[in-house]
Amino acid sequence: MKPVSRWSRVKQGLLGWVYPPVCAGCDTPLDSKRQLARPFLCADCEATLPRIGEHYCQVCGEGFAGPSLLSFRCANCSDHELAFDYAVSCYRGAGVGSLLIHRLKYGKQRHLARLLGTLLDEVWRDRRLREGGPWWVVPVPLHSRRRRARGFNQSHELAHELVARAPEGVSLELHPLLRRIRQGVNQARLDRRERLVNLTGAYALSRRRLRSIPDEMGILLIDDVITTGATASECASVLRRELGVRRIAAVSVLRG
Amino acid sequence: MLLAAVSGIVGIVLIDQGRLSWFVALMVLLACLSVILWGKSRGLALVIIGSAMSLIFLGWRQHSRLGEISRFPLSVALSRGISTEIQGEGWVSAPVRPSDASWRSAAVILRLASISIGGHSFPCDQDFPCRIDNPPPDLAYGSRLKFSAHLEPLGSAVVPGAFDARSFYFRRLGAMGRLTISDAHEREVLPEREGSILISFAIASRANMERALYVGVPESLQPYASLVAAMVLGARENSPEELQQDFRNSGTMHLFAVSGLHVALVTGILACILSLMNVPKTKAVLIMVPAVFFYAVLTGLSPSALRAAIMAAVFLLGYAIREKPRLLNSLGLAAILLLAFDPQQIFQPGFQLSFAAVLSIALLTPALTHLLSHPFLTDPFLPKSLIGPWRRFADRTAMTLAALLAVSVASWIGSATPLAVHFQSLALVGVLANLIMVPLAGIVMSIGTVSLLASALRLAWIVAVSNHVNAVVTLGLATLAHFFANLPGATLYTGVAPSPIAEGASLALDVVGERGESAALIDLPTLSGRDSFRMLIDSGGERTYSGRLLPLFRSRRIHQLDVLTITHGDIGHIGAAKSVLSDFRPTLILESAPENRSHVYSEIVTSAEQLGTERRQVNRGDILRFSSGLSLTVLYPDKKMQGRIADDRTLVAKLEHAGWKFLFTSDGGFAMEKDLLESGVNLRADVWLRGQHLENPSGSMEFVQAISPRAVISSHSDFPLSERIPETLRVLLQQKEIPLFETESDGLVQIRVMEDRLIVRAYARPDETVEFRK
Repeated sequence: MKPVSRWSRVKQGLLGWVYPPVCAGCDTPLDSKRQLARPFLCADCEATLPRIGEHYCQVCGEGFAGPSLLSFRCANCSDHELAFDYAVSCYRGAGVGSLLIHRLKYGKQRHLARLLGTLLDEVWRDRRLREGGPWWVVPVPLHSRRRRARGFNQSHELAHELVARAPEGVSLELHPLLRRIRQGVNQARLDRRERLVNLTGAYALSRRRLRSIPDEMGILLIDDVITTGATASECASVLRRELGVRRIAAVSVLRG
Repeated sequence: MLLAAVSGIVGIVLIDQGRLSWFVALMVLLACLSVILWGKSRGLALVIIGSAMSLIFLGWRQHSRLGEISRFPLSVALSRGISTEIQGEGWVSAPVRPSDASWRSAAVILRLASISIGGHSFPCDQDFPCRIDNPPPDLAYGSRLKFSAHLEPLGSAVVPGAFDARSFYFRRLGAMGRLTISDAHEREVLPEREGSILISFAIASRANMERALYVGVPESLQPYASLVAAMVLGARENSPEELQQDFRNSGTMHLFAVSGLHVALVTGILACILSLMNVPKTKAVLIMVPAVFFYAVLTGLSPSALRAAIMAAVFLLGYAIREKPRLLNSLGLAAILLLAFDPQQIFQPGFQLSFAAVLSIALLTPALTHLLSHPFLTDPFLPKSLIGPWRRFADRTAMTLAALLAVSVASWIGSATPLAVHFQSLALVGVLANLIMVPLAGIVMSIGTVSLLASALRLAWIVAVSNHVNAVVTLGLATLAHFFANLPGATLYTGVAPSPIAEGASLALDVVGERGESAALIDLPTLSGRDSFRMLIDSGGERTYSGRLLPLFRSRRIHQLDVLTITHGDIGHIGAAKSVLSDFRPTLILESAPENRSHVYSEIVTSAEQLGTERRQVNRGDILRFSSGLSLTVLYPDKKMQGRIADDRTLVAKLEHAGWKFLFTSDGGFAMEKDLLESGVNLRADVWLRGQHLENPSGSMEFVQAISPRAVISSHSDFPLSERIPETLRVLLQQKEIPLFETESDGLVQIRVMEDRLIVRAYARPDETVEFRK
């Protein structure tokens, strides 16, 4: 985590008069120090966020509660092909985490992207991500119609935060390489089987972007929530097909 | 910020009232509190420190403002009520508005740069309200003017609850007097220009936009197009007063005050356009924030428009920098910024109404919405998959309606106190009216905005069609306002003037009028308040009605009349009778028997027929007996009389109660006096209430001797000459030491019949009360 400068503290102190920070989970007022460290989330609410921790599926990122010394692939993803190499998520999709994502996406509370961006710092616990760079960060796109209605793409906001907060030694660049060309049914309303087929042909390479990427470059797909991994997988398959990308990882704040 | 704003407001009020010790005590208290809290809760301590700073800063601003006002060279003379002639230079600091429909005079705000009295010149920098007769055609905002003028102190309210010019202009402009540049005074518009280019541009733009909203509207719908202009641009000066009155009485007048609703609509439309142009929202904010402030300038920089603009800017900038705006905090910030600019705004009704309504909405709406929607919503524990589409639709509808109703109720509650205090009325029907009319007004404003955009793009047919459609929708809105305003019990008058019973009077007679207009209210109260009798003799013209009679009724909490007597066809006496009929629903109209040829009279007849009000003609010799020994004896005219003008056929009557007699001669002239003297009728009366005949002198010595009044109440106006009290009568009354009360200058003249005495007093001169014993 980057150290907080004195100027940042003064700026936050002044800004706090106009935009007083409160916890998005429980409406408790936050002081400047807390707001700079973990914007819009109090320590008590943060404590309710279930971390995935060190033990998770090495492909889909699904957390495993018990102790394990070996890396493993879970039964959940072993029965289908995922186009990305691996996924890493920060927290389980429960409690205040789901509430935060819900408020960001459906409550259009764009400021929460700042909080979720800080929560994304958790992904750097994965050595493959830390050492596998450099990365181009690619947000999972929204259909233009939905983006207009919402006013922003939450994945793009998270990608922006991830790049801004990249730890020392990790090279990240934001490249929105994808676009959504078909607006299917909202994934959140579908079951596992339906999700896997719903996205076929939904994504394409962005018209205004590069046709190739440097060989050594890996792609870091960003989404707010990964559940079956179908969305990230579909995006990854487009990138592999169109740009011939070799290394693709997916990261998310929550694991559904 | 809200706490800081409240603390700052307290600071302003304490300094304004000269309570310096209280101010210091509060400052010390806040300082101590912050010291105590510093170790325990630094956040709270900082809030207290901020509040203390706001208290000191806004208190200091008010102190400086009062200092600026008192530094005006003639402030002492004005505070002592002295008028004077001055020469000076200044510039027009607000849009020029007509004083009357024909532009014979203009009402302007003059910022005085220097004044000269008796050869001495004094620099100054203060705004003064100014009336300019026959204004120069090139007079506009920013015009620099060299002039001579009459400077006089501002008058207080002449009727309880009426417009108080002294307080209004002192609080709004810091002015202690008003200027009049009459035909006899010099005036010269100098070639130099002053003022802000932005405001000049905004005024010109507003005039162009207003014109655009009239394009394609047929003449019959033009009044409704003016309502559209009032709603979209806050341009109320051209809207018909009677239409505005319906909105006022239905509690929906706020639709014409540019506020959050308007600003939200403007930002929403702008956001849509920028989104269609694929401008990212964070960049769109850079366009939208200045646009919102320009809209506030365009619509006249009212406190509500500025409040809404500041709050919208906080919201939009918060979105851009990814901060969460808090409604109450933004409200507090807006209050502090506006009061820092001009702390006197806290005393203005517009400021109080705007902030009180939003504060109430912010505090009450969530709980009210829950309360209202809860019984109609699906059980929250029911799994969503089990809820059908119709049920979901019903839930959404219930939530929307509950939210609308909650906002309506909350804003009504918030604005109730300022409305009751400043306007002595509460539109009880407002909650329901707003629920229906606010969404409709939103449609009107949206169509109006489309029309303005189409006008800017030179799409003439879209402008014409949208204006026509909008005028029709506004006609519907005005019909709804009329419907709600006329519902029984729609408006509750909350005035605080003492009732006649509280004063110990068995009969109250209140006379008002200005510029030759006249109206007299006779109130025969009962202890319980029920079965009391109220009669109005003439309604006055619309000016007297809205400026004096209506405030009188509101201050006395009068909602209904029993009898309306119309003495003759003069518009200054019956011009507002139609309004009286619809607002106070008298059950009987008394009128004199000879033919009434006034065009207003035919409208009164139509209105009475529509409302089912009984009309009765009275003739010389008729005696009408009302409750509790009150009687009215008709002395004049006879039904066969055929006077040339309306004043010749005026009704003259004597009112008697508890042995006290009051003679009403209205505008009767020499012929009436001669006729009555020749008829030998007993004219003796304790109080003579009179007006001026248009052509003939009145108030002959013989007539005065026949009445032998102990007090005279008369209308009087310096202009036109026919409305002046004859000088001979004035001298005669002076010789006989009969007190003369003039409704023009004395405002409300009150007569109270007590158990053993009669009191006559002028509201504007409470120290000159006269008392008579039997």
